[in-house]
Amino acid sequence: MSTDPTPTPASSRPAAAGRDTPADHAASGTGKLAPTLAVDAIDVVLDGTTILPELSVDVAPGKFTAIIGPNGCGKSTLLRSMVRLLKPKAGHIELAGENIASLPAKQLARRMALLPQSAHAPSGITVRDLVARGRFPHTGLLRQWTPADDAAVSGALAATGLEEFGTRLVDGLSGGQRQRVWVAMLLAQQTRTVLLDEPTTYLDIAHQYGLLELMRELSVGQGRTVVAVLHDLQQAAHYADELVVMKAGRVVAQGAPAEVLSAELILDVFGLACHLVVDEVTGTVLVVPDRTERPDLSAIQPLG
Amino acid sequence: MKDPQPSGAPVGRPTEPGAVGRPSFEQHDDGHARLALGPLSARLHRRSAWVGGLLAALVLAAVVVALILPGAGVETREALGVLFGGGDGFAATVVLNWRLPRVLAAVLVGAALALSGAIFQSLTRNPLGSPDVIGFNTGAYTGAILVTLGGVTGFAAIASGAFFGGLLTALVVYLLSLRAGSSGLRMVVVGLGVAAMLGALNRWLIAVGDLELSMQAAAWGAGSLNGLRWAQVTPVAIALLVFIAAAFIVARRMQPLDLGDDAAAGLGLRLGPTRLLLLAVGVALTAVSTAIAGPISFVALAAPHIARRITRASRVSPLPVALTGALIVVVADIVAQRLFDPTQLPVGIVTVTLGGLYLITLLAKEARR
Repeated sequence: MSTDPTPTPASSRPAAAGRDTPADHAASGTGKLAPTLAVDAIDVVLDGTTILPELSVDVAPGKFTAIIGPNGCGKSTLLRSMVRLLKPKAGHIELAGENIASLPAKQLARRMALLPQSAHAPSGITVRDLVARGRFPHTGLLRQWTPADDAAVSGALAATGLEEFGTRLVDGLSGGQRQRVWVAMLLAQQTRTVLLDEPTTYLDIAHQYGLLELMRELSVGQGRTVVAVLHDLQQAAHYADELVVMKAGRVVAQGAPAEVLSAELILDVFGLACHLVVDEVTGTVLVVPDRTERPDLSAIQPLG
Repeated sequence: MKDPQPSGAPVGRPTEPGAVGRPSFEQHDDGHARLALGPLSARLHRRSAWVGGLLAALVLAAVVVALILPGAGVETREALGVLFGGGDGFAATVVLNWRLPRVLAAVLVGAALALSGAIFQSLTRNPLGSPDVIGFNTGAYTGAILVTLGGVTGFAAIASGAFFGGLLTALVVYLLSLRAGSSGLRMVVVGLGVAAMLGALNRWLIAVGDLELSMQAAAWGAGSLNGLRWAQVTPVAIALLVFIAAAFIVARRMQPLDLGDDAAAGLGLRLGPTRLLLLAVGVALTAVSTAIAGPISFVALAAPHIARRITRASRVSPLPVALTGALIVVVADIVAQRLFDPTQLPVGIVTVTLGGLYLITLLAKEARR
């Protein structure tokens, strides 16, 4: 049995045994890493509309991959397909070489976790209780709660700076604190692969960067595979090892941010004319919009 | 840097390694405790545990009161004698063959309705999504009326009519509200509509039917435990026990489900099969209960709320919910029998009245905030 690296500092690492397989990180003989997630020509149809037409994408193991693209381009649909919330009409998704459709649901959830865009906290639930629900795939009818589960929850709370909040009610927290609780729940799930759907939305700028640092540390420091839908191109370019650019249900570009991101791409994908500036201090790419067209408000009455 | 004790860490001594097989009990400072015995382990909400114990004691007390209240020519002293293994033939008949099956039915029906309510409220993610609101009771009533008006009499026939009526209604509501990403609200709204239509149908059936048969059907429609004997209660009790056990097992799945579809799927819950399983158990609990007692309203709606309020738990643990439902129905049935003695009220009337009072209190409280 392999020991799962946990999202907590090594000193307080819970003794929980990881139940995901080492195959999640298997490397192929050529020295190039086999993808952790291989999406192979999936067709996802929602209410008669094809959202993802024959989409294929590979996610490299142990890397931070950011998915970017305009609203409604199918980013969330892709993540929801990965946790089998949506079933592709054609094609399949492999996790470390295994078709996810044939994996038991709980086993999949012990290897891959999702932070959804919107989740509902039951009223009256405490922070620790909510984070504890991340242990669901690790528990069973008879073995409902073990010291390893407690350790995983405490570790997740510590990693997200929520130790003091354990007994507080989720209802009474600010939006930023609440998002940290959901992240803690994700960490308590102790998976080798984590998917995050717009995790930084609704966070103030400091919390956004805190979360981005955490995601990077999960991949760089702990070797986990992180896939996140991000809206801020600058943050995506700065933090991610790899960008997956989507448009209208297709992947139009994939690769290292420096290679992928260009003014032409942003114009093509987002329809925004801009130029890119590289910050001399940090090497960060800045997206500076060009003059955009003035909106035509003649259809509404001016004031006065 | 200070080293705060992480909340929820064990307060007592942790289980020693090697103590496998010995029961262990750890108290945590987050209001929970961990219980372990061999391969079994569980996390208990402490307040839920002691509230559950208290409720169990109250249910037991109510059951004893229901058995020993004077009446039917039996004094309390005689009834107590029967309970302790004595008493003459007549008192034993009254207590053991007349009162006991009725009280047992009240306990099981109350528990079943309450669990069914909790399941449907979780399934629809709506506090109003209880089976009596979304039409299953009305449908069961339709089945019972059709059987009665069809000239078939007898408990088994009416019970079957009610059972299949409720089942069919559940199926119709489920299919009508089924769409990709079916939302709980749609099920509640569809259920309300179906309930309204079936209610109209029921009134029409009673209005046009044979007077005597209609009166019989209308009496059944109030929900009553009157005249139940072992012959009727035993098979239903076995069925209810099976489904109550099933509800305790599927209740675990309600925890991830309550977080929303995306989060539940991410936690490894298979949504489709889970929904069907919850639906099947919930419908079975309601249908069997209604088959024996008629439509008893309010219990399914309110018992989960009440249980959650008194346990102050974020999740509805099945035990306090079931016991709350049992307590409501047992007490309501005592009131129904005794309030206007010798006239016996149907227990359904009492639960509806209690429900009205409860809702008014709740609304008044909310309004004052």
